[in-house]
Amino acid sequence: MTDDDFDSALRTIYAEVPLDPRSLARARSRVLETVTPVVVTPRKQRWWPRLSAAAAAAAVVAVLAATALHRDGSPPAGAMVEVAQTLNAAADAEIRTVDVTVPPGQFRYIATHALSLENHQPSDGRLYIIRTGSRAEVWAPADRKAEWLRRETDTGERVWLIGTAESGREAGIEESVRPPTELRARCGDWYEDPCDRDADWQSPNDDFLADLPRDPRELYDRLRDDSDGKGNDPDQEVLVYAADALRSGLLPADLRAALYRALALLPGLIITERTATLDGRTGTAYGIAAAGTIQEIVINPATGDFIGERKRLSAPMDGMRPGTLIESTSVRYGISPAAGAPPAR
Amino acid sequence: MLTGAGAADRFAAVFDEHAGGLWRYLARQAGAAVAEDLVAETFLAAWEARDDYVAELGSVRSWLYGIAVNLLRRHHRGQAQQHRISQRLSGLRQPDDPEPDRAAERVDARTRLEGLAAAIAGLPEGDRDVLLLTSLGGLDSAEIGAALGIPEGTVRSRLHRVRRNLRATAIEKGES
Repeated sequence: MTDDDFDSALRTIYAEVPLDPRSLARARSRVLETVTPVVVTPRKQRWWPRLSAAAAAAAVVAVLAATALHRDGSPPAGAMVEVAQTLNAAADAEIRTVDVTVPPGQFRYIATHALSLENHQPSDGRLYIIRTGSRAEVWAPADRKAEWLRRETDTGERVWLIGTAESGREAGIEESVRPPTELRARCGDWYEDPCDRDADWQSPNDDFLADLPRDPRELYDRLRDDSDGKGNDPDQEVLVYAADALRSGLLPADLRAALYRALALLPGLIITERTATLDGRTGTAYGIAAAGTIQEIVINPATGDFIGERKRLSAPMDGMRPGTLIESTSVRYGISPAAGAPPAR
Repeated sequence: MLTGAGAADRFAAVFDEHAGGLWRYLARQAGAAVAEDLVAETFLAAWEARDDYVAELGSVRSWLYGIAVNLLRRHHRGQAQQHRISQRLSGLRQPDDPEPDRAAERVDARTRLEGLAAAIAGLPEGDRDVLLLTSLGGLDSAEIGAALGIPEGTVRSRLHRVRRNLRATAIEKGES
């Protein structure tokens, strides 16, 4: 065998794979997500490598297995005790945390990476469901009444859950990556009366947060009242409201602590996964299975960090299998010297 | 270079410069899906270890390939060697033969490739890495030395020995 034959054999055995720009874009967003933002609180931050696809699949199975144990009837003895203990531990950690104040003229940086479903029904009459990724970055000024900036970026992440990219393209589904958009508004009130709107759990402001009770039982009752009649399941909706507020990144440590203790009072809340990974960070997933879905929030019980939330199917839906991730959000915080600038290291 | 103010932006530029080449290198050995994971893990590991990067010891490219090679080894260890070889060769297309009298020849060629693939899979990790970083990665001896932490001269002599032995194996298999 000549040198040339040998090289040619190598090229056959290790055939060229054409570069897939989407695959590279997904890897890029995974990496930059981790390297860009910086935590606010003076704790040691640990970066975890993201789960491989196989490990993620195993995690889904674990969630379903855990849920199957608890879904019908009351949770097994001890489960509620553990939920309460770990949530209270997270609350204790928050009490020890001192939120770093944003220096005058600088900005609190809040980055959320979200996955959500997009449904399409193009002219071929078939249903296509794509899970797409986006990133929202908010720069909130030290003086909250000043101008805020919100930048939304399409991460280019696309997972075709129903239908294939090929047939979707043929049916005319537009796949191009959307250009980033920016909004600027005083008080972060992007869409309505700046500095003069009614705040709520979904878009809280300082006044709203200051008025919320710090007593866990009172806070729990307030969550129940405010979420009453919303969503598909009353208990699950309490968790959704709590996640909405936590995701804003604006809750002070004492309120985060009170919220964790309030959630410990929520019937049906179980630990769905002890070691859940979201965008490379690990915590405990607390969830409620109801109405065909499992709604979860992921908290690091040791530090109290709110890592994010996710929603998975617990029953088939539109041809998607149980276990399919249908929504997730992960949150990172930092302090940035200027609106639009990456957070300082 | 990768620390201090603006480090994240510089790191993004490093990603854009090197990720494509790494992806191709990894995809040829482990497939596109694994390549995506390994590229991300390589850069995440590089970011975590950025304080350890010493420019005098080698280029950023060498450093990244060094990390990727370790991750790929770990990935390969998780797969049985035989499974890996058959997986790779099942990817080789084998269309219905229009000329039955040449079929035997093609079977021979396939047998030779299988033998070579098995021989490469059976190499010590360090030998295989030198061969593939050269042939698939296009790295030169100095870069490979920096990536694997061995002297450049060792890279050259190892490469020479590995190629000579593999060619001899292929000839033996072809004649037997």
